[in-house]
Amino acid sequence: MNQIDSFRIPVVDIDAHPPLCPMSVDHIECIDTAIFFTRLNRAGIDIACGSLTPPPDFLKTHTLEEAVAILNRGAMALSAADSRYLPALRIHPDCPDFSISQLDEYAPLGVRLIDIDGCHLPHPSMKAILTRAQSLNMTVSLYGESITQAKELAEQFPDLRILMGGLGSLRYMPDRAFSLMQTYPNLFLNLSGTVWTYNYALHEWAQRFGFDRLFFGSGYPFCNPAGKLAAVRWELRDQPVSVHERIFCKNALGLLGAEGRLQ
Amino acid sequence: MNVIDFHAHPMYDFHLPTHGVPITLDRFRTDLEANLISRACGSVIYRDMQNRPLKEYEQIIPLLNDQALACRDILSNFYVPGIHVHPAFVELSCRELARCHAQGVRLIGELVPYMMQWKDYACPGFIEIMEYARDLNMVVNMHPSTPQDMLAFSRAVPGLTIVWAHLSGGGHFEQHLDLLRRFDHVHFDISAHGTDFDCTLRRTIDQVGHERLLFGTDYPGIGPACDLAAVLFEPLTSCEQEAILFKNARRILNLTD
Repeated sequence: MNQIDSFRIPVVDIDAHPPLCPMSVDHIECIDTAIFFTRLNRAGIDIACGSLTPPPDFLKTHTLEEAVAILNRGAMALSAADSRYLPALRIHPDCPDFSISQLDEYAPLGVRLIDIDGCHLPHPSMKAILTRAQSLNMTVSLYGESITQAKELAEQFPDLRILMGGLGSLRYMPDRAFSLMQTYPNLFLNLSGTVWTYNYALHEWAQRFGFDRLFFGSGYPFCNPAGKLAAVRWELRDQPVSVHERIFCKNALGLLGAEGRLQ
Repeated sequence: MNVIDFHAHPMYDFHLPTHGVPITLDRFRTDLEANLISRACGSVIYRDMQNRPLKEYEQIIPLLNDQALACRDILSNFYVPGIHVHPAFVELSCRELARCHAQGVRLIGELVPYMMQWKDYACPGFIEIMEYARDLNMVVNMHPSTPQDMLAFSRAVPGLTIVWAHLSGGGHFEQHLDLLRRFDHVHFDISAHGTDFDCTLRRTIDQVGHERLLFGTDYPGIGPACDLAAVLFEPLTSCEQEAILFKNARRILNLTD
């Protein structure tokens, strides 16, 4: 198979979402953090980064503020307990002041990433939240967004780092994403989108565009992490090890300020 | 391991404008073989054959089938041709079945009605064609339609070896599982969506066994590496893995090594 498989490059998954507690994910019915990391490790992934996955009906049994606080506190606790995890925050536009206070609380502790649902982007209070994220030098990781939303966000917040394409969302083709990234230097691309399994798309476009703003993500536990990893490795099969190092590891650790994590 | 890809498409060019790489027959074979696939099955599809006026399919169907046979001549044992039929042309379709069957063809499809100006499988013309296919002991691989239509067609032609494509595609995993529960002659290939979520195969096998799932990639529409890696990642026994990756396809298509 792919000869790159034989190079042991640490793999950082910028789009993996540990469960807050057992029974978190409908798809796989019963998962706890031990199973989560065991599965990721078996897939060949060493470090996971992303906000926590809440259990089913979590928002029915908690207020929004409670939910956001519990998920973020849980992420910090897991990060402290397990070196294989880098936390990302949750916010919600229906509690903007509280969401901003969460950024203020956790950014000084080194958290760099905020997961944002594309359907929240049109909400009027997102502007204040994103303005604060920008001033705190954080990165927002989008999922379920449209290409137009990514473009508008990049224009509106030119100093905000924006990671597109999370959770395997199949919303736009890679040529459009790369074109956009050539115009907006604050746009970065998460390769978890199923669009990247389209044959030869990444293989061709990444060669023309470069590799510094590409990140491996699996979307686990919503997507199959081994399939995602194999798909990206296959597309990069003609690239040297240095490119694999960037996409699977160094780009993510640099973006998250976690360069020392693997040492 | 000699993996059989039950769902692939020679001459496919739909993403050519995006990436600019022609998928020649040589590349078709080389890419799949690099991913442990020793045999690929499926129909010929390409941009120029889709969405043409309905009447043109009377000429296009035999042409596509000839192209599949020509691909087999070039790729030899590596390629198992799948042919096209069309319910707007029942007589022609039955003639094509007989003609191609006489040349050793056992597979119909993947059929792609959405590209060829038709929609429902559970229509009299298609059922008539498929009854003839059943008499010839042929296997049909079909792009999924609505759950209602899939149910109606699966019920309409008992005894026909049906392989619906793309297990769990379109978010219809539960409906697809229901079809497998109801009908012993229904199978699914797992190309494109069958391994999107971790443990989809495990859940399916726990409910309906491993004998009616077939490995497929949908190459070159989809990269050839992800599905195999995903199958190997699933918590399956080696017996279950082998059944999905080659034994089930070998059995229903009567392939020899």
